[in-house]
Amino acid sequence: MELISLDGSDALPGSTGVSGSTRAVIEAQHLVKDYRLRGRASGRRLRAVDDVSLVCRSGETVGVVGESGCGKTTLGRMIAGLINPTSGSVRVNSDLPSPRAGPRTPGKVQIVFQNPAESLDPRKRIITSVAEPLVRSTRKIRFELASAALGTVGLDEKIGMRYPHQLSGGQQQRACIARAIIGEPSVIVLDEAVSALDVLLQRDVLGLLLDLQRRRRASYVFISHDMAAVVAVSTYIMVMYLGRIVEVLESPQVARGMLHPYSVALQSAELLYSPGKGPRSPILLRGEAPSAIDRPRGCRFAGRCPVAEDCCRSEEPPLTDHGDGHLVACYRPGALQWEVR
Amino acid sequence: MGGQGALPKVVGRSAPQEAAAGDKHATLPDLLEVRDVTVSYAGGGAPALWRVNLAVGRGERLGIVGESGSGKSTLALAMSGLLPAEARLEEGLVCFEGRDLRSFERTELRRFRGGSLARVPQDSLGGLNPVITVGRQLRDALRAHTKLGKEEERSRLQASLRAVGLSDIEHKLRAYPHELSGGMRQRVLIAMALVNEPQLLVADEPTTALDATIQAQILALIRDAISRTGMSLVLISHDIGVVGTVCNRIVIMYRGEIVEDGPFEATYLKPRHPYTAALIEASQGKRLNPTKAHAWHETEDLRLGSQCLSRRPDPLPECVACPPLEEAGGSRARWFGVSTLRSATTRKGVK
Repeated sequence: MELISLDGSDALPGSTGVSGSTRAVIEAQHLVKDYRLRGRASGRRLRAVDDVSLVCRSGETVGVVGESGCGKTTLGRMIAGLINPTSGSVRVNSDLPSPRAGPRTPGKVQIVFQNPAESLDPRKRIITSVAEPLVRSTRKIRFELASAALGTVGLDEKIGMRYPHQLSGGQQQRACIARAIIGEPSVIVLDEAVSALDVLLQRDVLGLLLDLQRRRRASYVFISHDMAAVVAVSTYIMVMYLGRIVEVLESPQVARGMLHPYSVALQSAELLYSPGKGPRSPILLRGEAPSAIDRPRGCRFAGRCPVAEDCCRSEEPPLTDHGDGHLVACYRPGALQWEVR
Repeated sequence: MGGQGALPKVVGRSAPQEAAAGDKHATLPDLLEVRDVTVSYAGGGAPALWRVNLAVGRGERLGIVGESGSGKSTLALAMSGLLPAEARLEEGLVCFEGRDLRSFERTELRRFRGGSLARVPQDSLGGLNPVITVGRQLRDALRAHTKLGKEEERSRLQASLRAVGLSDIEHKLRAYPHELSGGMRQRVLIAMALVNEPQLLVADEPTTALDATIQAQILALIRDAISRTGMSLVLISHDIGVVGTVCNRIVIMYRGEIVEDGPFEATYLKPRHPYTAALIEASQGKRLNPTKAHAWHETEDLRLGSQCLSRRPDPLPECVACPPLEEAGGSRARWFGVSTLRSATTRKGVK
């Protein structure tokens, strides 16, 4: 795994890619997003994303995993150009500034949202929604391309003529994916794209996404709270906690064990039962994630960390390389152990 | 059983107990029994539950797993005698300690709900009244079933919140639901369910809306409460792993019917219904192989078009002889061998 140095000091998470391609499709540098608060907390700021950098190459999937409030959705939206970062930059195919497309070109970046029912216009036929990114083409071409895109995701023309409420959840999400791929984007941001689906359907849609990636070489930013789903599809995985990346590793490295205590706890909380071993006791963390408004000093995770020491509470650990590009922001990496299988 | 020992303290307990004693059955009947229940919702469509038979024994920890639309929530509502107005119990009956719920008097029903049987809902915000403090809601739940002196009541409320792992109790009692986090609200709801020491706890997706690390905390809490009180549990979930941490028996539902029912460990290791096998496989978080992705493409169609249940008019060739729910070795399943359906999946995928 090769690390790209930006200003000589920072290690930028990213890999040369299993695919062998080295062209960076997404380069996000030092992204920060602040939200100004209103009401009682007026005048104060909430830092949703705090200095996050990532690189994603053609045909790769970057998995971003974290719990609610960790900033993963904000990160995804900045990459998709839906919101502007407070500071830092996103380049897609080396283009600066934001990849937000003009009104008449299909974007280079597309996004698939969590709730398929809410992201399709209830008054439009499926095929019309799917064709929407192709504003510049003629009616006939749009229809043909939309039919083809629907075919790619396994929906036939008959379904294209229906309205969203007449489709099952899985079919709706496939339609959303068809809409995302129709303009041949180089990046698709998948923000909890399968979370609302039933477990069997999740595997189905994930399989479809991987298959599309293999054929079209799009890059994915796969955002989810579900560690297992992220590990199942990603080239490399970034674990986020309270606005910051705490661990970056390639998928095969997961088997060797995660090093950051939060990653380990998150993993243990999901693998609740394993065959032959009966119920597993997960690592129980104290309390809940602190507020991003009154962030504690030092390591953000120290307050809940079972292995925190004094140094963790005074200074924030930097993201450092622990071999083979396995980056961890922790003073005691590997101190918390939990047997995966 | 701990719960039994605590009985005399709770006023509401006596009626069902007497009823059980007066029952014809010589042996103690199951705590809760669902007999041949069919439920449909107004507006037509397939019934949400179709001839479901299920008994929950004393001290049993039962997990009901299924995907959306499988009828698991409707079953939980039927068990609690809380079916909404638009749902109709077409056939069958639900018995608590051997007595049909429909024969309960109004006052008995009030003592049953929240007293003998308590629920933990999925949506912790919807489960609490937004304009009343947590303390008052908890007190109301307690007062509905138990008459205590002011001091005793106060200490009981504090103890119940402490038991669910909350700190800064005085502040929590004065807080409104929106002032607490989702995890804390779920703890409050569990405290509210346990405050009257029920015999049966029905938890409908109690951790689905929570983060994984908070889910682990809440599941540990439920497990501790169960082992402390010895009450029975019905846990509804879409996640087999969640059920595995707490339950000793699992029921798999599919489109309103039970397809498999057995001890958790045995069923997990050796599922007899293909649907159970698919759910277990999906829950293990194995890495997807892109080249194999096509094999999964048909899963949805398989699901939607699955004809393996008896009432389908146009069965697949593989499923023509749909087996009845058969009992063997302490488990029940609609058994036709896992291999049959697996090969059906691959064949469809190749096409």
